[in-house]
Amino acid sequence: MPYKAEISRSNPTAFMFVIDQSGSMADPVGTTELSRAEFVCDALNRVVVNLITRSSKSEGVRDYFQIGAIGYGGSSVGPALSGPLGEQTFNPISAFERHPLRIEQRDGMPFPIWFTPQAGGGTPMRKAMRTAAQALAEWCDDYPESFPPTLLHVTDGEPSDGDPEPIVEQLKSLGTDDGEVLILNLYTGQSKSGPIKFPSSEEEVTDGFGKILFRMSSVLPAAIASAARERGYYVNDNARGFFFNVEPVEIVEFFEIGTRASSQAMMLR
Amino acid sequence: MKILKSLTAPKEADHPDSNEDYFFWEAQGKACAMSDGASDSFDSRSWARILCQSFTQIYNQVSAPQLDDKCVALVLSVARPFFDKQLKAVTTSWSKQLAASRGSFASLLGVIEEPRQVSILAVGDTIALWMDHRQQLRSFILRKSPEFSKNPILLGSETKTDSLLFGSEHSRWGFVTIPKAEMQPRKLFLMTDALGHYVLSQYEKNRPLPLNLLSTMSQIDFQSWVLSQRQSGELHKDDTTFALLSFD
Repeated sequence: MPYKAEISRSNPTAFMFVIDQSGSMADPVGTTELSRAEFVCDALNRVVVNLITRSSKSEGVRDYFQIGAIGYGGSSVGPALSGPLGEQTFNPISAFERHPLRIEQRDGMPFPIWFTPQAGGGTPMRKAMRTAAQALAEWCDDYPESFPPTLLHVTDGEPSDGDPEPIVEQLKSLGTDDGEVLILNLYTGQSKSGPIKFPSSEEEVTDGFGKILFRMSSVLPAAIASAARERGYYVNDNARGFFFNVEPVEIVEFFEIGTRASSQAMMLR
Repeated sequence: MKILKSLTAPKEADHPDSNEDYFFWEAQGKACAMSDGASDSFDSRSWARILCQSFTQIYNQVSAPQLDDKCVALVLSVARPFFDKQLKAVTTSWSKQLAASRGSFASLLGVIEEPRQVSILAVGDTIALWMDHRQQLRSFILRKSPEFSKNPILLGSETKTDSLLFGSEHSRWGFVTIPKAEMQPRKLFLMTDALGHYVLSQYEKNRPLPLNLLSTMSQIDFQSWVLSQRQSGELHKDDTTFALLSFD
């Protein structure tokens, strides 16, 4: 059965965050003063803190996870991280622990920052997916026995460089011995449709671009479906890893669910 | 009480120090304890050790032990300050500070020998097995292999989980007293959940039990056996610990 590989230091898993950094991501959200880009960065920083915390033991951080982050905006695609973490596509979780950009204090507890808001220009989503595919192909070759990597994509608009779907179809065929790469998509935009979470059929999505993102999303394996149900979501057996037209504040939840499932493969109790 | 055998195999053979199971007894003592630390903890290895030591050292001193809710509260009241003190020494970085704030969790299986009976405290899915006077295999606190699929209730290093432990989850842990006359032979097998699930599964399928085999193994033999059972899919991959006790 797929998606059952145990996550360990010798067989880590990976998360690849693909982040829309186009100009519209600078727009404020609702009546808040925060932009979508700021919401995304806050969510990214929270999920990395969570992964580090889950991997931390008294003797140090265990490299159960590797994290990659690609940003796309303008005409370019590149690392969404700066400093030492920006020098390679994937970094082990212990490297994140060692290299935050800074550490803020929130509610009396340390809150490290790795991701900072970026926004400008067009939406080269197709190019970003191609870059992600190359990186994930290499990762799967390096870790053939691992729990498959998960790609988590956040966007607020349609691509400006062509249709990403054929690239993502190829990406979906990548994987390890334990299963195919999982692709989860979140759209936080201004569609006239209401929010849709974990749809199981394309007919549930009326928006044209939403349908593309639906097809680009993987069917949830049991572990992620279970993680979503534990958080109160209705998820049937063929549900896709797709949030459409949700508020940016839900990005945290999306990331938490997408990264939680593989924690269960660590036999956490 | 004699400890005839004490064996353990880590989940990650390459990282034996990562073993979060612990078994503790003192020579000439009448109490011992086994604990299985939860992976999703900052330092469940230390927490498991401190729980075992606390239980054993308390009940080696008590002349007429009475296992009840106060017993668990007493063990926690002794264990937590020790653990907190140790924690302060290691939570030197921001990540350790955050991780430590999650708490640490572990099961606890405590055994006390009295002149005519053996008393057992069980919190979690570390179990005790024995043969009764009808030569039926008995186990406590989990009795059937499917019970291992549910997340166990565990002892936490912080008080925030006490309301569950002593409240809604109270029915999931407890005590048993076994008259020695009902144990034939007067032996008790203790094991953490991976092995417990395996043994009960074998029993339910009328397959031979490995208890006598395990009782004769060396530490190296045990680790080899555990590895082969994991590779065949029979034994879940987890820290695996076994102990055999005998009573007068």
